[in-house]
Amino acid sequence: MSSIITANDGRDIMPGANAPENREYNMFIGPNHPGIEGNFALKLVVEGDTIVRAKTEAGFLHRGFEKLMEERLFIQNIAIVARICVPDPDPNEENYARAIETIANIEVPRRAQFIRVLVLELSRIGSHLFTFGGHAGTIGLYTLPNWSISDRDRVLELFEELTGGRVYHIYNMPGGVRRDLPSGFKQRVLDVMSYIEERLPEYDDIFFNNKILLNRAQGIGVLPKDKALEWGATGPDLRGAGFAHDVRKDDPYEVYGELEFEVPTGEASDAYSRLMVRRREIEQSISIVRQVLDKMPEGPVWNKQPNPLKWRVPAGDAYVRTESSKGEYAYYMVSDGGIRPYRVHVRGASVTHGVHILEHMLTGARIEDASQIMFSMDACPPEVDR
Amino acid sequence: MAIDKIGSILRPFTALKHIAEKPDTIDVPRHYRPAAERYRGFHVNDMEKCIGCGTCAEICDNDAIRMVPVKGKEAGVGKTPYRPAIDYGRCCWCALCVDVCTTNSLSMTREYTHISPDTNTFFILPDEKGIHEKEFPTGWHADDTINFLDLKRVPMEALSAEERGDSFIEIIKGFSKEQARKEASRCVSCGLCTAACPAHMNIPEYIDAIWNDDLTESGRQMYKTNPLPDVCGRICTHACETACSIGVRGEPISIRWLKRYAMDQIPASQLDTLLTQNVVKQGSQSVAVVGAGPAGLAAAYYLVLMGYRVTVFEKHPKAGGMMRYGMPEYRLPYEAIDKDIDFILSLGVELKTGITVGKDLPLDAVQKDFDVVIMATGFHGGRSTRVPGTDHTMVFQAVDLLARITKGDKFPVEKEIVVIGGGNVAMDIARSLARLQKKQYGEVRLTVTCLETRDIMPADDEEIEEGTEEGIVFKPGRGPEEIIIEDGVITGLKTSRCVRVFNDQKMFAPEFDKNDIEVYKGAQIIEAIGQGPEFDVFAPFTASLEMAGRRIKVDEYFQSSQPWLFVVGDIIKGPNLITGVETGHQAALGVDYYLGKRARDEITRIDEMLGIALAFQKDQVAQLEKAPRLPELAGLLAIEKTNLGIVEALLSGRNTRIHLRQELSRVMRRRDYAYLEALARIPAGPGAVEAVAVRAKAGFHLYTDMLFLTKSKELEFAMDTLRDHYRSLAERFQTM
Ligand SMILES: Cc1cc2nc3c(=O)[nH]c(=O)nc-3n(C[C@H](O)[C@H](O)[C@H](O)COP(=O)(O)OP(=O)(O)OC[C@H]3O[C@@H](n4cnc5c(N)ncnc54)[C@H](O)[C@@H]3O)c2cc1C
Ligand code: SF4
Ligand code: SF4
Repeated sequence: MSSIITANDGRDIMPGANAPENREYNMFIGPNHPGIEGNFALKLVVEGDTIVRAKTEAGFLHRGFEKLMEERLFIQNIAIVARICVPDPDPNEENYARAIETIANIEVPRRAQFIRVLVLELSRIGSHLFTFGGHAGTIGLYTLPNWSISDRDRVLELFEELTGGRVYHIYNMPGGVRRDLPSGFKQRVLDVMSYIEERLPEYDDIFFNNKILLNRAQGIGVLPKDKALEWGATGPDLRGAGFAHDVRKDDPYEVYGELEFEVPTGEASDAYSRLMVRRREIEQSISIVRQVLDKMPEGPVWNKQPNPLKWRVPAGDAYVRTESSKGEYAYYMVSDGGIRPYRVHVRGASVTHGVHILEHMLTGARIEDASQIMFSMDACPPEVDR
Repeated sequence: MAIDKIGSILRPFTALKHIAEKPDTIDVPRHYRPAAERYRGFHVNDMEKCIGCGTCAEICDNDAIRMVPVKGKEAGVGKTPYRPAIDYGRCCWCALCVDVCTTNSLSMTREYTHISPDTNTFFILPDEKGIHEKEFPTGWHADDTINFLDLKRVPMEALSAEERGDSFIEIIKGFSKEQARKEASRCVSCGLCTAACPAHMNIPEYIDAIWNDDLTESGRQMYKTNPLPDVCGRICTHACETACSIGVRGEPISIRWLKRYAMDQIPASQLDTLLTQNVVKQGSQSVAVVGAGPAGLAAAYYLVLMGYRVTVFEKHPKAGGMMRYGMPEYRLPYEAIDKDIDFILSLGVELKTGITVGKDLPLDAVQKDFDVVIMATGFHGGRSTRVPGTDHTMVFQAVDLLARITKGDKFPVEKEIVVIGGGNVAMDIARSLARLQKKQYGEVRLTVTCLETRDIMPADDEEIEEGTEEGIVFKPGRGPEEIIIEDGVITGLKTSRCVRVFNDQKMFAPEFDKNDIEVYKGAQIIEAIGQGPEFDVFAPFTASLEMAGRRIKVDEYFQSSQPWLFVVGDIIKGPNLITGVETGHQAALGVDYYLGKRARDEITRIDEMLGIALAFQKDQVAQLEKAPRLPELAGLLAIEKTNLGIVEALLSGRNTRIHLRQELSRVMRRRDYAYLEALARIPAGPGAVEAVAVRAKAGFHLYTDMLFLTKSKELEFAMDTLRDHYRSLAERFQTM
């Protein structure tokens, strides 16, 4: 298995390759590779098909957001924070706005709070659909990506209509949201929700119940329950291990406290159970969206803030967190009373899941599972790099 | 969860049922649909609506907007010739620029894509048609429910009509700190006000300082161009507010009241902390200023700072001119005047009051004793209607009575009075007399009549409204016929209806309907129809002074045809206080220039610097016109011609020079531009490209240096553009 043999003449082309000290070799996945979540790389040391050590390589997407934020007016950061995480940008906008609101004691109109929840749940649905596509791709199931990516597009279309942007919404503003719902929008959201709801059983047929997936994902990428806690997993990765921890329930923000929804959990803590948690979360999100549209009061959507060019946030600090599709997502913001944030620290879920935990999980796994395990943790490379 | 069919191998084949479905995608480019109604596509700009304030460039988080001069767009009140150009290599389509736009001229289209191998096409100057020069449905646009700007003023508190009554107490109460900072926070620092202010005050800078609660800095900014800020903060005619970009959609910033607030907080004892330059030790050269009004005082202030011995001659017992002897106390309390003037005098200006030049002291005597004389005698001769009866002793000139009120002279105030005139001077005398009537008789019986109908009355609306509250009756649109005198006593004013004031050429040519007669009762008539200069003071030089129409001919520094004589204030320009201040400031610089003591003074340096840039650009064009037509150089000539236009525009722009002058003091480093003298000639043969590269490098240094000299936005844009051009040119030829 570990000797390197040429096709037919039996000649040893790499003398010494079979010596015990030469049995390991390095293998790279990424930074550009269909089996990778973005510009990110895995540097694997393998022996045969088994990974003996794994090292993640980040930094390809480093844009220095935390530092950039210190150089920009409070208003200007609204345009850049979304870019920290491409597939699920809205928790960034949410945190940024909520951090300022907490420090400056700004009230957000009720209607805006409902709209924010709507946006966050739509973003979660879109992000999960995106992940399904990636996950399926890693094990060679190529129908689902076509479906889920184009279904995600319907969500993006809703975003386009509501916020003016498909991917980066730049919509959440300290004090509320930037525009009210367009007319007829509620119905179109409900239509898309029904559509996706109808699609889920079809997803089950071709993917979640697919024998190939079951064989490939069950028992793979197991995150031991004690380690899940010890290493700081959150979100679906933690819930897949059986812990019903969810910021929306445990530390509700906006109007989550008034909404009814379940926190799906898994048992096995393997790639499959994390995937299934996400799948069931879509159902919960659809239900939340429906409740939000139903209960949303009329009224203003924004509390006027000062002229953005002369806008100071009083001195103070705030730690705010949001349940993103990737896990717990937090901002720690410090203001010194100036026109720019003094410091914004982004605590994303992806460094934990996609760097530290992933390195542990890959150790001992097989090469062909590496991509799948990575996707099952659903980290977001741009957010790792920031 | 209904996942009950786990394990069936055939399950995935259920997907085949979709095989015959119509795909949900769009067949681009054969089919096309616009993006959503609020899509943030490409910028469009209503070029007419846009005033070029640059607020979009200010908020842009990616520095994607650059304000560029646009041919055919003129600078004007509340307008610049600049329009935003967008760099789509930087833009992130956040539309913050659209939401902050002061005029709502910017919006975005519902286009998704722009595809081109030519990167230049990603840098556009959006107009109504946008990037693809096609009418596209509008996408993201301003929304009144979400307004970034604060369009409403912080209201100013004032005394009520009852509180005012018979008192001369100041009506306007002034801002509190919170109110002032709130009002200051509305400003977007666009600088349109600076351009409109006759003295080009650093308005955004002092407003910003108020917002930062740094009032010393605020005062410092004011004193750079105006040594009468306490007064100005109360009675300035505030041309700045007319130009304010926030005024396009909302109420302009209360610039005047903000100035007053800041100055009110700075006690007289701390004024010297506001000096932006050290007072230069006095030299031997001396300047006489005739007239201690705003223009003369401003000239004295800037001259004394520059080290000249300044003596001000004033005929009245106190300095101040029309500030003190014209404007009534309820608008401008004497403390404010004293504070400003005392500070100017404290710097070493000598004031000689009670001397009327031309009477007590002839002008040629003054000329003998001083190197330069600045005339600032103002308008003190009140004009008469010359209708029958105006020679009666109970007919008064408004300016005379106002001066007597200031001096505390006794004069008769009748129970019924008629004031002729519809301007602010008429309001000042009418409202002053109304107060005196109220005091004396307990009631106001005063009629104001003027040629203009109410809609075109030159007085400020507030003046008319407040006057009405105080009991004054207005009879606009009437012309005086005669003063009715019975038994030697005036009983009233006979008027006819004024049909129109101006003729078709917009010249003053009133016409009357003599059949429509009204008589207004009164025993005292006040004429307030305007003031004019008294030229006798110029004797014995009157004949030798060149005239331009009815005014004395002066150059841009207000120097007359007699080089030792400068003329400032109302008699040359205005009439209003801030124009007087500006003429005084300019004359001070002109005097300094003339006396030649400060050989390389700031003015010459700017002129020289822009001159260097002009010579450089002209040479560039000339050389390129002669240069061989190499493909590498193609297109360069057109760009250089545009650049030449930019420099020419800067050089002819008075505002830019004023800005530059203000900011020059920040430049400590002396720069020389020797590198320009070593410019390569572009040879006809080989070596042409290298020569262009050498020139590009020189141009880059020139504009980098010049950028150092300014913090003014319009200059920065221009210099930056030019510098970038030369940088990229030099980089193209790889010799930087
Ligand atoms: C009633 C009134 C109200 C006004 N209100 C406003 C207002 O609200 N806002 C505004 O911006 N402008 C206002 N103006 C206009 C403003 O006052 C003048 O434009 C400004 O004062 C002009 O300044 P100046 O220095 O040229 O002349 P002045 O202020 O007229 O000063 C000239 C000085 O020269 C002195 N003088 C004249 N002849 C001689 C001589 N031979 N020898 C020595 N001294 C001499 C005079 O005594 C006087 O002190 C008002 C004017 C009047 C009459
Ligand atoms: S859309 Fe945003 S990034 Fe683009 S020019 Fe406007 S402010 Fe700048
Ligand atoms: S006061 Fe008005 S015109 Fe002046 S800088 Fe501020 S917003 Fe612009």
